[in-house]
Amino acid sequence: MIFREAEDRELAGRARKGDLDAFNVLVSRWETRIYNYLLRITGHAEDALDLCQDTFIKAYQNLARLEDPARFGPWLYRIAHNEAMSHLRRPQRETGLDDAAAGSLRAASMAPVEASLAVEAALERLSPEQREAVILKIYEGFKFDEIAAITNCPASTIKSRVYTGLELLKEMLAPAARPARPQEEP
Amino acid sequence: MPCADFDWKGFVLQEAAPAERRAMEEHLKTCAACRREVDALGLTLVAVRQLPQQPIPRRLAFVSDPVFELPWWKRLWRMPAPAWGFASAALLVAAVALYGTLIRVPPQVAVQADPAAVERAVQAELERRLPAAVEAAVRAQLAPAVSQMEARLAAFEQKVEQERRADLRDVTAAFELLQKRINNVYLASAQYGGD
Repeated sequence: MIFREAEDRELAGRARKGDLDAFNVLVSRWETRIYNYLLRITGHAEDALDLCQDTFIKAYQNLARLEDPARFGPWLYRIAHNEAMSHLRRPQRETGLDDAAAGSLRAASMAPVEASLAVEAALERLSPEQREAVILKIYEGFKFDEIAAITNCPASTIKSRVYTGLELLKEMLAPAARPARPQEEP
Repeated sequence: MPCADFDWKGFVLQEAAPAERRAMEEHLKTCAACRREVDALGLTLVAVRQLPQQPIPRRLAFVSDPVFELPWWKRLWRMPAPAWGFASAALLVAAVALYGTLIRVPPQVAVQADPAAVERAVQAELERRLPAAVEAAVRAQLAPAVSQMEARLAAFEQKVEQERRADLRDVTAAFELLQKRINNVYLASAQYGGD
């Protein structure tokens, strides 16, 4: 993570001075993570791709506002979060697919592993706020205060969302994730 | 049930403080219920973290693509410092050229500065200009009083003239009355045989 921050700082610094290749490298480094973050929030591949593109465009246009180039990652996630929330607040368009068809399409694009499908299904049963907090904490590895900065929420709220989401996931994934209960110790 | 004294979610999420974490690890050695809770939470984390990342369906546009093009004012703002310097210099040269073309300044004659001569010239100029300036200032200061005095004088003269004419009319009337009486005396004396 430290090496990544150091490289991000250098690349972001060069990009701010007009080095297009440096920003292209940043796009390459972050596009998959940002895309997956947006995919988990929106649950729609095309929307996630469009939002991902918008995220990088806004990042490029507002590079001058990035106070600490080493914090490029959290800053990028904050832009992605804002894009996703704006998208979710808009009336959802008709996709031409019913829920079942959309679900099967999504499942087909996921790895055909039972555990992964179970986790996907469990994540979808969380509230959008809990899901985002869990993804940023468990999947992306941010600290509570970093997630608070990304989502513009108090850290205590983020902690509550992560704990509640983790508890629900533990309950939902128990049959798949939990091993056979060991014998009680005497 | 795990012990309620410990924050096991914070423990598995690496959010516990080092001292607290050591105490929790010690506790885990002796408490099976808490171990089961930590195991369950840990397996949940592993399950979520092993969720595969999906590859991007198609590549994102790079900065060189038109979609990334900045608005003109942002492009202007993000010009590097040398470009700003060059633009400023060009603007300065253009301003100087424009000034030289449009505004004709009378040629300045170089004069050797002699302090005594300058002082004499200043003194002469002062003597030439000062009386007229003082007079003009005094006139300007006294103008209201003078005009007021002139108005009052004119009114007084008019009044005197009216009184003089009235007196003249009275004298003329008295003279005419006297003349009539004299005539009457002449007539009366003629009737009684006088000359």
